[in-house]
Amino acid sequence: MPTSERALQFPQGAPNAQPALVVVSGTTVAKNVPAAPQVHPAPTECVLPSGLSFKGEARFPCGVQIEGAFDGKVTAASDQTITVAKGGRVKGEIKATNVHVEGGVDGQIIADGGLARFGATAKFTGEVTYARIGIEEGADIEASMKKLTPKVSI
Amino acid sequence: MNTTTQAAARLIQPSNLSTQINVLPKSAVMKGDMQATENLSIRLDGEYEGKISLQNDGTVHIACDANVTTGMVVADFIYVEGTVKGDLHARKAIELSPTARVQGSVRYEKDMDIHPGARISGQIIGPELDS
Repeated sequence: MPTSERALQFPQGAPNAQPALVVVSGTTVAKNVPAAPQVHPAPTECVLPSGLSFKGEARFPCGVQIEGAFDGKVTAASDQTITVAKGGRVKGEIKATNVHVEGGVDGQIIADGGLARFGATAKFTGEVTYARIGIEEGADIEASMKKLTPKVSI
Repeated sequence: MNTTTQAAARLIQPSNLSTQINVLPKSAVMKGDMQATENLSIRLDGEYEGKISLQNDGTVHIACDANVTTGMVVADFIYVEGTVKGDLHARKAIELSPTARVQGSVRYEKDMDIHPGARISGQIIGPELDS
């Protein structure tokens, strides 16, 4: 009987009873009831929200969106992008394949093998090492730039 | 089916967990100190070493794969499903799920809920007995 089946499922584990999680751009919002944590799919991007400040070192397997204040060294796995959002402030080192800056960065940016992109609201002082670079009009940049030439096999 | 693991939170309200932000995904590593300047809730799935301090109404959700080594985690609500070595201070409520493994002191000022299966080694400091 369907009703007794459902009743049996409840103690077994929340995942069967809970509605699905909705993952919206990195943040996970449970629909009604606390989601059983083990059903969480690995987030494709995580966020350091505005209002949170972190001082230290961080290493992520995924893309990161920094909206808060980060003081230290942040690294992302290969082929990932670190984004400093408009309200984000990073002091220290950012290292990823692609780095997209719309906020404030003071320090070193290493976009090895990828794109270092500065939006119109970006403010950057320091050093940037890149394979490809993009700077939008309005970006406030005072930096030394170094291009990484990819090794060309003959 | 494994019946001892992964129970849903029963003390920590859904409203505390629904707004949590995934700060540290599963294979990520963070070493340092984290401080909130706004009221927000965070969720940790990876490895964290350092202090965490949240403001009012904040919940720290230490998920079942997380491994936290800390001097101190301070928040209004703390929901532990993972491993913690260090001190936890919940200004309101703390809940340890069946998969929680805590080594260190647990301090709470209002409510505590420990699910069967949780393991704690350390001191538990609750509110004044008379209040």
